[in-house]
Amino acid sequence: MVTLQTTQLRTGGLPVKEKRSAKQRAGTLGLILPGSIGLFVGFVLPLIVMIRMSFNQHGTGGQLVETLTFENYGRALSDPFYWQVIGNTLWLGLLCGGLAVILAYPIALFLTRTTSKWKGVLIALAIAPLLTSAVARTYGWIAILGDQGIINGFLMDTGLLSGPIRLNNDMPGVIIALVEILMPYAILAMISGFGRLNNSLEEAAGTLGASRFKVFMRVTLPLTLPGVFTGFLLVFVLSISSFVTPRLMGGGRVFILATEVYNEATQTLNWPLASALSVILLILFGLLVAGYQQLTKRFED
Amino acid sequence: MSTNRRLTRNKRLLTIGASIVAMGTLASCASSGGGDADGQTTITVLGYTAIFEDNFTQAVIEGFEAQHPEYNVEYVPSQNSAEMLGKLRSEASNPTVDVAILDQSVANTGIQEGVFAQLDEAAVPNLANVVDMGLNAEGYGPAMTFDNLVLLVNPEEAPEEISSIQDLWDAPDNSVAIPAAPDIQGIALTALTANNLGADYQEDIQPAIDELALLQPKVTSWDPQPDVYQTVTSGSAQYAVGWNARGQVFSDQSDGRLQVVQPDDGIAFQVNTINMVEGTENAEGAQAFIDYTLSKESQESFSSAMFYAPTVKNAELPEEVQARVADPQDPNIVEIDWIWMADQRDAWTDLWRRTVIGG
Amino acid sequence: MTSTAEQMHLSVQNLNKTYPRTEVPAVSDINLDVQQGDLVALLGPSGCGKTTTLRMIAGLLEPSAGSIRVKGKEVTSTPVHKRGMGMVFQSYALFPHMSVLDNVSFGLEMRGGGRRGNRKAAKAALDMVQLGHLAERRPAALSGGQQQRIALARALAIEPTLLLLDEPLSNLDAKLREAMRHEIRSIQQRSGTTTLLVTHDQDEALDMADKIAIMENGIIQQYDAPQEIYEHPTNKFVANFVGKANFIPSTSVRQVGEGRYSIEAGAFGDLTVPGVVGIKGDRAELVLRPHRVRLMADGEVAADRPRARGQIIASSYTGNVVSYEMQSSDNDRVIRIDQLSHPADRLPVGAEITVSFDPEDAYLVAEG
Ligand SMILES: Nc1ncnc2c1ncn2[C@@H]1O[C@H](COP(=O)(O)OP(=O)(O)O)[C@@H](O)[C@H]1O
Ligand SMILES: [Mg+2]
Repeated sequence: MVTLQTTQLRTGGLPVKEKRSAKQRAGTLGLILPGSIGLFVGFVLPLIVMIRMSFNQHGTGGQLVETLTFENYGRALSDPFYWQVIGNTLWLGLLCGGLAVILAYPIALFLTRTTSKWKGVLIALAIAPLLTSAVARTYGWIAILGDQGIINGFLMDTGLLSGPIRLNNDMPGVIIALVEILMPYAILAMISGFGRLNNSLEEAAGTLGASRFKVFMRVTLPLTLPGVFTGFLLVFVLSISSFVTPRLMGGGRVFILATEVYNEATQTLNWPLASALSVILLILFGLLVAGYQQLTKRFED
Repeated sequence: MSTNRRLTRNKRLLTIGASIVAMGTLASCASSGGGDADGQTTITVLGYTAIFEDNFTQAVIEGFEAQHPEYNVEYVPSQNSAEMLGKLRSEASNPTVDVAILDQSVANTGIQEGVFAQLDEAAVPNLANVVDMGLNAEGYGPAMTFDNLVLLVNPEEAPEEISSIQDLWDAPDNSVAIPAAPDIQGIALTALTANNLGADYQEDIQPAIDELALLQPKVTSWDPQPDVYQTVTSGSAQYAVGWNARGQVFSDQSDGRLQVVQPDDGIAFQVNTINMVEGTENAEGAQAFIDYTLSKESQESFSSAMFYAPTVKNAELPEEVQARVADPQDPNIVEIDWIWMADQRDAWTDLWRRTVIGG
Repeated sequence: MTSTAEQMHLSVQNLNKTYPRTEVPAVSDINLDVQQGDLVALLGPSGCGKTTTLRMIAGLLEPSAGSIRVKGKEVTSTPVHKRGMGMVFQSYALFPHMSVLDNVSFGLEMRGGGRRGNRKAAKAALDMVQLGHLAERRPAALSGGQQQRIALARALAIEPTLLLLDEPLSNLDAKLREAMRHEIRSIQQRSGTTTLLVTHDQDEALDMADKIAIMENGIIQQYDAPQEIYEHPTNKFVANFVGKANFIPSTSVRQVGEGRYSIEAGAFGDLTVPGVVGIKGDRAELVLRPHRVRLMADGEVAADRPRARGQIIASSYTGNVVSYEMQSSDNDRVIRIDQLSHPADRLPVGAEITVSFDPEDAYLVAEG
């Protein structure tokens, strides 16, 4: 009704137009329907089931007891271990987001600016790693970072190290691998977010007396920040929800929400707690992301 | 104006990138499907994946199908017991599985939730041969395999031979792989450690936990990937604890890079039970299959293939197999009450995280 | 050469640019001297190298060869941010993330100086373009003409040694373009800033410039005052590019004095006309501006003027002017005639007419 009214206002209340707008609305509905159904079946429905599960009870012997209790939330939020897990998860996201953005920024800037006829090929190359599964790439990193891996091997062969240093099987390895695996997303997000950047703006700053450094600080960086923000957010979200890499490379030492949820769901069989943790993850990081977007929006204006 | 053009170009690139990602995702999704054989009754069996599936199919299912041409067995592989219970839970009202082979403690949870059915002794005559330790007091699924915790060594990379659990404490730094709790290998190791300290794991576990904490610098991974056997074979770890059956099978495939050592200071058994699913429309076939898995023939054949200890008294293994399988009569056995353990697993896991791994 | 170069505000010598991976030079052997306070227009068709030349002078592009001097000082290898030239880009290039005032004070800030002083100077520059009241707006919230003036204020705020304008008016509508021409010219004259204007619009160049450099294919064809360019084009290209022109093929060309020739101009017969010094050969072309061709009244006699008869084959009306196309009776040429219009006088297509012109108004150039 509201849409109808506004259309009427805009078109001066012609009834002919009204008919067409109804048709248009039907068209719009037809276009968004398949996606919405997919979203409902694939996301909303499981979400409802999960939320319901989080109020059940984990009985003796791992039994699943259907009730309505806040016990799981109580346990998750009162146990310092889970706060630690939340902290770890947040830290992982911030670090991976920050590092990925720092490493991807020059690449994205170059890819945006280049006038080479290979531009398309270069961009495809930059995001080609996405064609390989994260699992394969994680094993690649295990081969590189392991005790017998390339890096430790080199350091020990050259006598710089007497024994291997622990790169794999702990947080550092997870971060290194995640940053590399998620970097293509950062590059893509930044390239698409660098739209306001324009060669003549930087040139104008130059003619006005700005050195290269000042041009970067005062023009290039501010204009590319929206892309940087998006890239950071994307990598942050993907890292805090990442599972495969932390699990394969964490060596059992990296406790983050995703691995905890997996453990509770598939090892301890504590589905209610796993669900409660998932809901906490969803709420906590949903709020964070919303706040972040509010913040960046204000910044961009 | 040129800004606009660049914007649309970048959008196009983003779209290309997104579709590449989508393609990758699609490619990594495996499709699965199954068909029905006609004229036969299908028995659907849920069990472990990978080498368990391969060996079980060859050593047991093929024999059963030869003996019972009226049945056709469809094997549904699963990553672990918990995943199996999850599947059974989710289809409790309309089960697609008739028989499930899974860890005893997880099976017990399933029994309490009413996922499994009691067996009819008359339909499973071989129940009479099952050793006492393998029987369920209330008539639910019996033990089908016994496995035990062993030491795994890579003789090419390991500086020293080891013979007991205690020797792990003398290993060099960063050389040991241990699947930490909540994995039941970590749980079993905790019980054995308590036993070595002369404590009863059901009374006070703290000493064992403190002892395990001393292992921290020795351990390279608390979550060996893809599994503990590959980790040792590849040399990523020189020592590990793991299960005998898989250890023996992988050892044979390892070109001498994986050696299985039965610890001389404690044997902890792990039990897989075979269960009939509550609500199956095929109780007769399910019990016929369960009976076959408990037959002398099947037990011997599966033990010879995968080095599980038989759960029936009348099984006789060839000597070279017997030597590589723990004897349920071994005096070193530390009996683990997996039913009692099911309730302790959370608490022990907490202790591991706080003290053993975190410490 | 050196002595003039030292007196000149800007002196460009033998400037060349060949872009990487290209064969043909975009700009070759440009020589340009600009006097203090002048506005010089670089005029030429699109792609002739105007922007390339301007960017080399600004320091945004490295010349392949040649030198640029400002007030006698060599600046060829001075980096752009130290040249102190103000530039207005075709797209204006206003910083979208800064307010109008911040845009204008940006250059002052880069030069140091107190914040308050800078803001005051920026405000003054804005007032000069009459947009002081928009200081706090974002550029995106301004019209094209306003953005144009902000860009101008920004470039002028740094009191540049040289103001460089690259097609500053090409994104504006026709009406606004004309108004801005005069505004820019008047601001430029008031501030006395030596200015280089790039344009492909001859009216703009004629209207605004003290001197015009006509460029074609990277070469300056003529560099002169607007009137000289128009009245005495050095070649057919210039005559054709600036203003409208009839080209009358002339034969039996013979020099009869410094820049004077006797010719045979088709239907118009034998004439003596002024022309470019040093035309070789006996063929040339006579440039005759359409509005210098006169329609003769019936029975009018002007014995000393060349004349030709013909028939009107087309006419067009643009308000103040009626243009006719006449096919001359010897059929060898179409001649275009522009008459200040009066509706009552308009002749129909097919009418027989006689035209004439003053030979001193025509100008002989070499064959193109
Ligand atoms: N970056 C460049 N690389 C190669 N060729 C260029 C480049 N920029 C301009 N050109 C070429 O140089 C010539 C002159 O260009 P330009 O100076 O932009 O002309 P104008 O400003 O007079 O339209 C054109 O042929 C153009 O194609
Ligand atoms: Mg240009």
